[in-house]
Amino acid sequence: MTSYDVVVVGGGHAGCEAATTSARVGAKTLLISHKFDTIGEMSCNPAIGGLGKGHLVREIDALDGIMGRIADLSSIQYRLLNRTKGPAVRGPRAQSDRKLYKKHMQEEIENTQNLELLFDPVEDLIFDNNKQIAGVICASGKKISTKKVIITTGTFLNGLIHLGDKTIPAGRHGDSPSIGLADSLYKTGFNIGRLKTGTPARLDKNTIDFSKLEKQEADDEHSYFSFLTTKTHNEQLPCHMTYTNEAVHNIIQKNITKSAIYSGQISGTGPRYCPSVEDKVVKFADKLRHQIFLEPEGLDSDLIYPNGISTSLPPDVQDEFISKINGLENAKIVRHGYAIEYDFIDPQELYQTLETKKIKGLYLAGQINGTTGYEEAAAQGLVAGLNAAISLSNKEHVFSRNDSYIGVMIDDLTLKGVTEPYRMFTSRAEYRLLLRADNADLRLTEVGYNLGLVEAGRYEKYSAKKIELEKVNKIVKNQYVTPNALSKIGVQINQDGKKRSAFDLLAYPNIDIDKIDEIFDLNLKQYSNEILDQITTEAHYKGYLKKQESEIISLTKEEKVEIPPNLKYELIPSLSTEIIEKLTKIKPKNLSQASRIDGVTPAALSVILSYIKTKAKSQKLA
Amino acid sequence: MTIFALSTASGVAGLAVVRVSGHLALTALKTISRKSHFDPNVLTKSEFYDPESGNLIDKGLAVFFSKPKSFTGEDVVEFHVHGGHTTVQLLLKSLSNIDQLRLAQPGEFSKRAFVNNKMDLTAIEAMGDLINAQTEIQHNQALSQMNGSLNKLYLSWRKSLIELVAYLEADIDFADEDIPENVLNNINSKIEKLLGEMNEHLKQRNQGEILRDGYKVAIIGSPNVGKSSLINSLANRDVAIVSDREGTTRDAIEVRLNIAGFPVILTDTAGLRDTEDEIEKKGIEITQSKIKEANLVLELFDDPNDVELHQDRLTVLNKCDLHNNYKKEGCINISVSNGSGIDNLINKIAEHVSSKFISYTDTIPTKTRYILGVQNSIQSLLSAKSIDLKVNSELMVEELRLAIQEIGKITGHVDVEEYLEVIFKDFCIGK
Repeated sequence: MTSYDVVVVGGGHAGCEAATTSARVGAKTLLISHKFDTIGEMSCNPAIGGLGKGHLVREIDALDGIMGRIADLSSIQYRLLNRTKGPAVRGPRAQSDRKLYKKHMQEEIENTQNLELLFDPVEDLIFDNNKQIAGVICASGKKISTKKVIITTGTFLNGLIHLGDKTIPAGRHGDSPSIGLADSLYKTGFNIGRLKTGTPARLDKNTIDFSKLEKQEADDEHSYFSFLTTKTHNEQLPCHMTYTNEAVHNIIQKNITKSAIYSGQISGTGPRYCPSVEDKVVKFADKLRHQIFLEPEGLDSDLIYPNGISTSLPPDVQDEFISKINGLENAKIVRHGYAIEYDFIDPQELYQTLETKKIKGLYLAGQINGTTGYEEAAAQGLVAGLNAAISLSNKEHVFSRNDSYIGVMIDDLTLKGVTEPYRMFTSRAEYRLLLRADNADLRLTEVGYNLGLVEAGRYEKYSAKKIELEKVNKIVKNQYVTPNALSKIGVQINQDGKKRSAFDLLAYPNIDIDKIDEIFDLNLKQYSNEILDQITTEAHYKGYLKKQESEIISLTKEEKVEIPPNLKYELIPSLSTEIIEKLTKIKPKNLSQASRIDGVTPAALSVILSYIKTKAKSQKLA
Repeated sequence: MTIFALSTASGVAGLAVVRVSGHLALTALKTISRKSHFDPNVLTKSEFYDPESGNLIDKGLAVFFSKPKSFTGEDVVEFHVHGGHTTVQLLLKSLSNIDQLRLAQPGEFSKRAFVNNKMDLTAIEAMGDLINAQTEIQHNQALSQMNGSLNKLYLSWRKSLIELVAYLEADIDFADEDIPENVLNNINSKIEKLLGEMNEHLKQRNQGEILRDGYKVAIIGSPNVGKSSLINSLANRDVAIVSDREGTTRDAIEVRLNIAGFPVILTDTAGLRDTEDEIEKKGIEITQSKIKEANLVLELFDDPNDVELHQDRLTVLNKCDLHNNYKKEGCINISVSNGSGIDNLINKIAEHVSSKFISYTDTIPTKTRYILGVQNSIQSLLSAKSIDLKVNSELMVEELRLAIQEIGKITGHVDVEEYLEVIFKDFCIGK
């Protein structure tokens, strides 16, 4: 029987990132999928990044993951969202060429050391006598021995496509769900929930009248995902915008009972932030129009992805309402939109390493955990791949809410669970000012290097940047000027007689690097924009960052209060049955995690804390 | 664990109530009463036996409250027995002999009520105030606070703040969606409005202090004008019930009175005059500080020729029984020795203290920690207001979050899901 350290099941965004991460750390890794052709498929809209999501990609890249580089190789429209807002809430985003994305991903996977590929659907898991993972069995009957399996199979659990009143069992369109593996997971007794998501029709580019539509061009200055990317690889294409209108809304209203969502055919919960066009029309009836982005699917593709009108209405109704949209009057529908319903495994079943609590050696990543989005999937893939690989030498690494969006997401998923497909937002990160897209490398690359995740080339580049940053930091923090001297050269600030450093002055909205050079004659302009922007941002957020850092210190204190894994919560006085049940199920590792479980009040925490302390004391005495 | 305790005062009394809370409360009642069934919320006549010895402890009443409809949110049982020392001890002993039952720690019932979300912090604190209330106004205030008046006010601020954050977050996190452009229009005026309400609330802190610590009246005057006698005389009136009386070693006597339902503290002070005597100087210093602390200064004279009228003081002329012309315009003329004018003086004090409560509402910040929380919140809102929200809305969010935390500390806590809920309820988001 062939044997691997880590087996990854599924070749989507989570699977690719998991497999390459595991291989990068040095584990002998096997990626199993249905067929080579679907590896790296963008199954929903052709774009990477955005707010929160862009942050995740930057972090994956800082840890030497692949998503950022692949996205840069296939980008056909860079846009930095919130460019005019503060640096912490700017999110890089790009339209991708679907074919290029897939091509580069496949090349990457094929050329990764320690990583082998197998195209033979996994039918079942093999367990040893201790109910731990021992291997997998494929459809062909082939058995593979391994101690770590990462399942990244997306929506395959009980996947059901709804197209009007027609239902088709399936994962992604055209892929068949794997029944055997699903049965195995159901039998384990995981807590299962049901979700839905949808997709719009795909349109033929040549049948759209773009001349009437608003254009949205790429940014002039491109914000790359990868810290290693130095140039734009592809021609940049515009998106176009159009809107629904009253006629469209009327058609949808008239046919609403034919929609799978409204006929009661669908029971799963959909995401609030990605509603179907039916939902928009019904729930926001007073809104006169809804925005639609016409996104190109690629440089040489004839397909357009009309982002904003995902639907499960029957094909004839889709034809009818789409023809009433400005610019789409003659648009040819290449494939109709549909909704998909699927089961997911409650992520509260997982440790923060993404290993399941019930089966040792089994890891889950991506949409199967109730998340949505390529970026969320890839980030989980990285966490699962890393932990599966290092667990072979009895190590683990958990990202924290204060070092990354990855940490925020894993913490949210495993402690709070999900009630709708989980998507990242910047507002989920309480230390948002600290966790910026621009400093992802400063936060994570060193950590990644120490874990064996980051390769030498990137680490050298990072180290050089860090040294330069420290140098410039020292310069600006050691140059002082009095308000009086400033006013003499025409810079007006509070005349309090207090000396200010160049760094302090950068916090003022009207003082930039040029002005600093003028005041102090430092010639800062000789340094790279990346360095200067970093320092300006730090100066800008100075007071707030200090506050957040002190909050983090108190968080770390709570993290240090470990809760014994076998603590019997029912023995703790004053805890309600509801809280006892939750804590027993989720098994928080420390007080900080416990505090983030819904319903656990500060009073309950203090009770737990004093119980742990008195218990520790009595054990010491005994 | 199931807990129990004597809920009435210890000592001999007609009745005593022993309360039990926890999942074994009903089992305990059944064991001790030897009855197999109790309807919830019905006071039932029963006999109580010591399960160990089988001896009868008492005949009394028992009531069972089923969770969550009880004070603690758990199953609760009350034993109403005769209030003899031995009866209560026997009952407590019987309860402690039941497995997994133990005597409650101080405050543990309230703590469970808090943990189970039956009461918020302000309500629990108000319950303490209610138990300790010595005057009617204190009682009313505590009662309305316990019923959630203050909690409601703080929650309404928290709700408005969460809504503001949600709108700002929608503008940040859904930058590429068609969020209506006017979302950010009223943010500053809404902050302004909250600031107004919070400042108004803080203005009532004096009232809170008066309710908590009493309305302080400093009685000043030259030696031997009759300050101590006046205090004694006030203390002995039926209208002014003395609730507490304490003397200090040196020179100030404090008497706590209940005047028109308000707690009033009268302080006698050392006489004010120029002196070289070190000890007397010290006394005068104390007097000066008492005057500063006082809500009202009552200046006492015994000679109309000495009287100097101060607008912000209550000027009182004593010994008006001595002469017919011992009266002075603008003074309250009294005689401590024959009691004339004393009722009038009490009325005047009552007028002063009630004038502080003209704009009386049931949402007074009664605890220092409420005042601090609101003050910190105001600080954050002021900072938020100074931020240009077109450029740095993320910093405005930071300030507003701090404000929410401060208010949250008074009552409970906050979760980001709350922002998201508002966002998704109010905007059509999603491509």
